[in-house]
Amino acid sequence: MASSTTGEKKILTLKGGDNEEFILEESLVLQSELLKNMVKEERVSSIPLPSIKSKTLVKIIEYLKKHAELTPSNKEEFKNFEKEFVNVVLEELLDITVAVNYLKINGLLEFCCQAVADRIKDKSVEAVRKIFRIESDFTPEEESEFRKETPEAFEGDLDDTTN
Amino acid sequence: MADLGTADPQSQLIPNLPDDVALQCLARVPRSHHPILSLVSKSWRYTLSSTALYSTRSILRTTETFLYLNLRINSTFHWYTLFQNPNSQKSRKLFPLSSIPCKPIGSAYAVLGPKIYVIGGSIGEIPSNNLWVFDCRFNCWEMGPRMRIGREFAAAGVVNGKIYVMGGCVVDNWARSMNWAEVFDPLTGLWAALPSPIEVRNKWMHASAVVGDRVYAMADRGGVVYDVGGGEWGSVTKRLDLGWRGRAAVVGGVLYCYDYLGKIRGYDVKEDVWKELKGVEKGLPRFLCGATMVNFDERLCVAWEGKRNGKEVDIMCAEIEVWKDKDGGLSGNILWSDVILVVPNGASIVHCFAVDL
Repeated sequence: MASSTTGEKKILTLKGGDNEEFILEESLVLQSELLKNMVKEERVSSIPLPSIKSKTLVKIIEYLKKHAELTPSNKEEFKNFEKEFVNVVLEELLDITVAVNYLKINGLLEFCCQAVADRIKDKSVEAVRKIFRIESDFTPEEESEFRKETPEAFEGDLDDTTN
Repeated sequence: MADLGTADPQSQLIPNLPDDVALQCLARVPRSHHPILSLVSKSWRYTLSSTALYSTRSILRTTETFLYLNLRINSTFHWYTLFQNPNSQKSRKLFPLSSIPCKPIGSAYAVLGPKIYVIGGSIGEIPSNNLWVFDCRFNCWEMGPRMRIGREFAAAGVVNGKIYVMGGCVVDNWARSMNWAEVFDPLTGLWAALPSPIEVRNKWMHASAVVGDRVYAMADRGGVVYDVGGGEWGSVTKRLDLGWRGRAAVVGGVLYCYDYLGKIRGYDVKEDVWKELKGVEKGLPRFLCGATMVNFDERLCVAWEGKRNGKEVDIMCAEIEVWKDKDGGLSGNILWSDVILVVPNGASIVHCFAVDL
């Protein structure tokens, strides 16, 4: 896809991980520091992003469009959109966060990190490990010792679910 | 984030997420959840107690304010922090911290960044020039650079990231008169003499506060003000001198303390007038035996000793939202008020601090 400049808006193609193509206005991708530099310096019209799943790319493009339309009068609407945007299963949220970090979309990265933080804060230790597929490298003795250090933190109910 | 470099490079904090992004996620989790998350893995534990985490929190402006208390129980000093379990309905409680390695009496105190500075105080009845520093991030004490001269019952205040200390010494030689006031820069770790005119050099200070960039130090009679911006010394007004009792706190430019009837009132520096804080009478006792106040994230936090029975004392605490009314009066709303610790009779609150972490 060639970018046309004659009076029309510049068009750009993004290629997701599964070779699916997304055609959008170049002005939209300028919100991404990475893509902005590619477009400005290399004058490309098609950018392959093999590490980003198409599903994730769809979400991000959706965000870029909404964010470009943001005005003081639809601020509330945008906030609601943001809330819904991160209201996905955690695995998908992490995919988005990784992609947003790669693309360097700074405002959205902050929002995603906050969403990840909000998701894990009330979880139990076991749930956090399951969510992120982290193996504990503590010995059982170490673990029970650390629990004893701050018993007050472990009172009450913690969320064991992994969504 | 150089600090993370020494963690096991094989284990990413969150698989598939670069460590600096994972750090940004963890830095946004409220600190009360950190003990639980520290148990996830070694790299999580390491990161959650790293300076990198705390500097990220301050860059992201996700710091929270925590209350610290210094109590005197059976003539020894005990340090506590207020902890509220976010997952439990149980009320707020004070949890003990490691105690100061040395026990100076009559120290001055200052909070700067994540650290509480314990300045001078006498050891074996000799004024010391020690600086003890409690790092609230890691719950540990360290010794800081010594002042140029020893002090007890000095005044201290923080303005623009530097600690100003004055008084607490008898000006009977050249060194003491040159160094009656000193300023500490934590970035260089150096103390420097702060020139002062002879007439302001009072000996013992019973209270201090900072309003704007002016440090107020109250002596037994009268008091001094040091304007850091202009580098000028002055004296405090008679009204402020007569009305100031105990450990005052400055919230929204108003200096709050209790009056002779045990009610909270605020002093408006611009108007030179004391006003009663309205709206809080019903929820609070009369502070006839005093109260310690601190600015807690722009709210007024009050700690006091409440009577329980003959053998024990309740350490009480209340957090109050305060504001100026349209007519210039001061009003408050008690957000919560609670017993935070029960201690043996005779115990008392030495000082109360708010630290952003």
